[in-house]
Amino acid sequence: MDELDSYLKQLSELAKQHPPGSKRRIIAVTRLLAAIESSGKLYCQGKYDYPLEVYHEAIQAVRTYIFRSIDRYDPTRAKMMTWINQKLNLEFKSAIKKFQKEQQGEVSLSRKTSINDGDSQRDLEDTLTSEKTPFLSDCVRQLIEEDIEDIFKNKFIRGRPEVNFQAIALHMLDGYGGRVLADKWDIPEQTLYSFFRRSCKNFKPVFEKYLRE
Amino acid sequence: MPFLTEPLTFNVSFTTRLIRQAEEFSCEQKDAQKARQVYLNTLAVQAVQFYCECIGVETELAASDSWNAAMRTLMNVADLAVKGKGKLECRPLLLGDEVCHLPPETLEDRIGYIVVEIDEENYQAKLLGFSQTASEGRLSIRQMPSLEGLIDAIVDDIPETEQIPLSIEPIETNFVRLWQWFRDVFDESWQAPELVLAASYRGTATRQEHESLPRKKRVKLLDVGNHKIALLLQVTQVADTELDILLKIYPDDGNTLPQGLVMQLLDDSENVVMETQAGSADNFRALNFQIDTEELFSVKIILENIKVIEKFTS
Repeated sequence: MDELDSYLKQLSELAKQHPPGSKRRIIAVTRLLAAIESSGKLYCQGKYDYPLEVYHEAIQAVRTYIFRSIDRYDPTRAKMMTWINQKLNLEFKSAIKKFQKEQQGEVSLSRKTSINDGDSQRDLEDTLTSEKTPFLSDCVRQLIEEDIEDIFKNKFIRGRPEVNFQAIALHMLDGYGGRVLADKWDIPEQTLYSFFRRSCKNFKPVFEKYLRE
Repeated sequence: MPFLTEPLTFNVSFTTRLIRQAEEFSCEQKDAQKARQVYLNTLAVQAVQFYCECIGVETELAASDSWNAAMRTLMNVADLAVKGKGKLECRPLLLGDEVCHLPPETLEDRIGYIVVEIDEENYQAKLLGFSQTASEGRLSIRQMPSLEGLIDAIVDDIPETEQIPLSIEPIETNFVRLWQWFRDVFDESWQAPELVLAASYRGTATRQEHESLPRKKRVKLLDVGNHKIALLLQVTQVADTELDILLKIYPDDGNTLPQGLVMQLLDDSENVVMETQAGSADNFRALNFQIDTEELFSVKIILENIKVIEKFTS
């Protein structure tokens, strides 16, 4: 057994000594995973035969698995790296299946549109352009600009009605930084942000209501 | 162990689902720079959320500004609400950068800051470290405390008593082979009742004897926390392949059983089949059942967080 194997075994034993959900177990398992991943000994057959996202599905599942199932690891039956690599290859196989299924779904979808004749294709494109939804950021800007309930401009820093939520928000949406605005209005930057942040929190339900419509 | 001195980090690999989520949020923004900011913030939040999921910490995206369209449009936020704790700020840092700047809108109302290194080319992220404070508005990864602080901040302490290995791993012994009892082969911990039990027991256990059937009776003294409990097992062969089992527990001192003491019968998959619990003035509790000779069973004695298991096979 080499140094890595014995280190991984020690970490798994350390993890098992502490109850599930305890801080010490979480730290031990996090350390165990980091050691496994930096060892260069993770092996996944066919990793490069598929897009990276397929491998990512599998390795993510392995990470979740180690945290939940470290108690199932039996050092008398296999080395930690063997246990992990077996799980990784299993998860990779199911990730491939999932990927192939999705690919088939996309292929049949594109075939469906390609059998349309020229006219209906053009109709479809026209519909798409005319119904193109505006940017959500534009909707937010419009809401603040119009201020139909007169709430945004009436929320201002005490004694400074010109430094109101509407003015600050519109400037920010235009890309002005807090420093520039703080100088412009001659107030501390932190005061400005603190006011802006609290106002945003305050108006959260208002935005939610309008943006849903 | 040289490895133990390395700072604690955690890797996340972005799946299609996580990337699509980040793209969806960034597409809401007209300004390209803002769109990119939202994209990276969303990735960072999801990376931390995945770690929370792994370690069993519940998060609340619905209560997070990063998950609210208007809030993430107006502010540069990558917050993640942790149930019962508060908000974490998950700041993205591009691979190769050394200093993470904290936007002014994130300097209040946070329980801490996690620096999430994003490797865009490989769709990877690494949780680099955690800081509870951000007084200067910037975090340098060279001086960044490691992830231990995050675990301290969001994981509840488990009471110390539960951390004693004794109470977590039940005390187990090897299988007791009942069939051997009929050949008068006993493990030395199983003794004749009259040698072990107080006089009070003798009258009660000898009634209803079926003289004709082969029967064996033995007692083992168990340490259940500070109490000594006598476990009596009487096995009767009622048919070729069927055994009748009577289990009784007594206090070793002849008084009463500790109140709340539980005796359970478990099947071979360790499911509870029967159980009995001692009240305030019980001097014994009993379970009676029949098994096939092929079956395994266990008896579990529980007193508060102490568990003792005895396993049997024919």
